[in-house]
Amino acid sequence: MGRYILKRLLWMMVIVFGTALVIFTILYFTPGDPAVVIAGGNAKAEDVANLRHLLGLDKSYFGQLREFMYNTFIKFDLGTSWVYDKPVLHELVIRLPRTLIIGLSAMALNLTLGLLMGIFAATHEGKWYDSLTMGIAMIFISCPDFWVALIMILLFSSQLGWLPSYGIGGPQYYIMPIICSALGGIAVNARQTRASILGVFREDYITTARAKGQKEGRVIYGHMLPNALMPIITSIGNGFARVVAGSAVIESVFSIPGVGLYLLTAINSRDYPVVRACVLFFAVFTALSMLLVDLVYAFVDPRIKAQYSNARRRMK
Amino acid sequence: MNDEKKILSVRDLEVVYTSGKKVVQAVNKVSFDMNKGETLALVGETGAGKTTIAKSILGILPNPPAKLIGGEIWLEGEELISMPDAKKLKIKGEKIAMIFQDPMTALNPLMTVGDQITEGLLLHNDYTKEEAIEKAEEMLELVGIPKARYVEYPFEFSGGMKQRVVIAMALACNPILLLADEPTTALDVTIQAQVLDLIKTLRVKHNTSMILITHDLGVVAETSDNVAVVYAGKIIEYATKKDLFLSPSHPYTIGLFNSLPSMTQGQKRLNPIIGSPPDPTCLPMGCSFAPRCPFVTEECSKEEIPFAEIAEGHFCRCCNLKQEEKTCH
Repeated sequence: MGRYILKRLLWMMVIVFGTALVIFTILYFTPGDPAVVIAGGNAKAEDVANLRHLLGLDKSYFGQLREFMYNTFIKFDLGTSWVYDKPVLHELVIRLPRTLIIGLSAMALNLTLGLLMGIFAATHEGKWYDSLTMGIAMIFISCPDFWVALIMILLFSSQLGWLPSYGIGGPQYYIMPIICSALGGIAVNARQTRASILGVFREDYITTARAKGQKEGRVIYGHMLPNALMPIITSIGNGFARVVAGSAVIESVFSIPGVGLYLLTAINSRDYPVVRACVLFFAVFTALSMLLVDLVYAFVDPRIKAQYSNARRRMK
Repeated sequence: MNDEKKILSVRDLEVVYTSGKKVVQAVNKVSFDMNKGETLALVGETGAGKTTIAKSILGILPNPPAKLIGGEIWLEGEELISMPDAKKLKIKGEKIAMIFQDPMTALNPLMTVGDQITEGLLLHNDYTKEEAIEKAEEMLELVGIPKARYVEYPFEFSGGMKQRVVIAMALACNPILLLADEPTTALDVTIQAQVLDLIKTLRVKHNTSMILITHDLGVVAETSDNVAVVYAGKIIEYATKKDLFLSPSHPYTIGLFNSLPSMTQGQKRLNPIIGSPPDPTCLPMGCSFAPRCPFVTEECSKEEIPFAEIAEGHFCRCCNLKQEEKTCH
């Protein structure tokens, strides 16, 4: 198992390195001059040229690439924001908790609700409340989160005045963003859970469990759910990766200074060090969540665990 | 029949499967009795309704699509179908246990085999966890699996070994009735004999009755006391093993025996029963075997054929026994 994790971590380094290369190249070839944007429309040509030199933009592609790679992977320096002149890492550390609070709470919410809805729908397959549950899930999937966010702001902030519509502060600031980011996940998890439970519903070992005289609840939670979990874990893993990488929309609607909004602003203002650092961070986070998913697989399914561990040891 | 010895009595059991508007008549008014310690073999083609009969007795029919629409099942003086579910859970696994057809899929792949045996033990006994584990290890040893393998998962066992686990699981609570649904079909011939022997030894110990579902007449000859031949959801012939093998009476049973290859005559081709079983969504009037029967007469399709006693303890559902004998023997 240890060897497997090590192997995966080594692969992750390759992935991160590749991501750095790709994002640098894309930004380099993006039309438009960051120096012009940062200096402002009215800046003199001389000032722009100075700024270009200061930011190192006058160097060749390979010269800039070498410097970026050296700083990032040898000195572990993510650079300084061109626009705000602050260290990117420092800013990421301040902003990350806000993104994580929203993302992780939303995940907890969509996991519990999604699983429960899925189990409920699957065990009442074909009845009207199955259709109702899946209908609700369909609506959740079909409504884009930014639209739901706007409607919620209209209702709860403008009309009723219950919740603040933007910014951060006390817990009440997080309620709407969390609900908005959870809705899509609830629907995905509910549909996924229902489908995979129905998949194992008629399996022989379920009949075996019933033949033992096991209570229906234990049959569902002890035998069906663990076997149905595999596809659900995959969908949870994707959701986990989206916690950070998908935060931009909700954060910009609610003006929450998190990682997603940081990236979005940086893209608009051509703040390349910030863009590069954010994308790298997203890559690491996504790769780590995928590794976590695979480890959870091994934990749930002994067959996968057996594949991972080279030397079989019997535990007792 | 002596009621003291009678443990199972099935009366007019009727089960249908519904899919969309189609109604499949899987079991049509099946009745039979069993004595303590007896082995009854249910023989018939795939889809004849054998497994459905067994699952109805245990109350594990998948509903939907299956639906029990009539009949009574008496186990030791208690009627099972009308019994409340909570009470029935006590009977499942404790008094009636089932060995499933395919050991490859009958075990939960994510649970250790030991835990799967322990699960049933804990449900039906007042064991502590430790006692149950000890008993489960005992059961494993009994079916010839070292108890150190308690902690292993089904994927680490071969097919024959898995079937042993399934048997250990079924017999762990000393059931009074064992339903063995083609216990050897998925296994190769050498393992088949071992598994059958194992079931036999374990049953004799506790005088367990068994319903053996099979389409292998060799297995029937080996293990059973009485035989019921099932065709299109009906029992068409019922006799002791000896009577059935010596004088099969229903044309279908005769066909079954004729289709076995002979060891002595240099036979080049098998003698199958021509045709295939009737569409269970619309069974023919009268005898459902009539369309394939070589002795068919007009009478066959007129009305329901009675289940007549043709010799002592030998029942047959055929109206042309006389004609048949003339041409056959």
